[in-house]
Amino acid sequence: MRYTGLIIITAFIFVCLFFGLNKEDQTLKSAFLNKPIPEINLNSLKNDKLDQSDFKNEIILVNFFASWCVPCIVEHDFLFELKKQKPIKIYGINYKDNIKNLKVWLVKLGNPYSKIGIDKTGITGINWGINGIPESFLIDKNGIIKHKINGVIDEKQIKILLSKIELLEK
Amino acid sequence: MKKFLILTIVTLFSQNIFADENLDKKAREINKKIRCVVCQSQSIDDSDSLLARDLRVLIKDKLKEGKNEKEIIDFLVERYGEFILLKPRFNTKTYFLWLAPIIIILSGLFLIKGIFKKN
Repeated sequence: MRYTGLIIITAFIFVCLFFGLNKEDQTLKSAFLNKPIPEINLNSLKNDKLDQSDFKNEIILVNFFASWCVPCIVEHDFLFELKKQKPIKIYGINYKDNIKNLKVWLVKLGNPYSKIGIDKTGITGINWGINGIPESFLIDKNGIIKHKINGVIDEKQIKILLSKIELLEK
Repeated sequence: MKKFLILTIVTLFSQNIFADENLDKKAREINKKIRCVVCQSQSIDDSDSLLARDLRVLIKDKLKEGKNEKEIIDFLVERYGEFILLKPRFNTKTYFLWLAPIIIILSGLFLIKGIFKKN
């Protein structure tokens, strides 16, 4: 009985550590989850604009990528796979890249993007709170960020994305 | 006239240098408070990652625009969450983080006091 207090405190610390360290999702959440998309006003690869007006009445996946990013090459095929399974619009945001290299890259690997915005300085990346590339955001029909993927979109992420898209379509 | 002109140029030039030095100093003070989200255990002042470099440039640009430290930190927290601060602020999301050590120490002290009393 003498050590009841000590046992309670120790048990509390262990419970906190157990649940904290065993949390399934250890990835960083976006500060913009369930909030409207941040400022975006980019020149696109086809010399028009990619801005807020492009995010209306449609479910959109925004994918930050670059031709110098090796994991983006791995991801590229999965973007096509996602489009095959669910034909949603994917906007690419080309992060701090060389346009010539980007064009060669797209010819070589194909272009899954409906539009590509050019973020030459990386300021749009910071505005969207990205930690690195590739990173992707799922946006609903009202321009609200509903899901963020840190890193490569792979088979597992496609399944998660498809279930999220299904929910958004309801 | 020539001397006056040289003096004016030197004065203006040195003022610019001091202004830049102050800006650099202030920028570094802020940089030290911002976590490098890629490396996590470093501040952006210590990190050489691409994102840390971009954030350093952004902070300096914001200072040049006349933004103060609070405005810059708020801007970054809005985008990256409290995680971007090496020293999280005391608010409803972090109060347990700040108070837990005090609660644990106080509980320990009461416990020790209780044991000594019984003995």
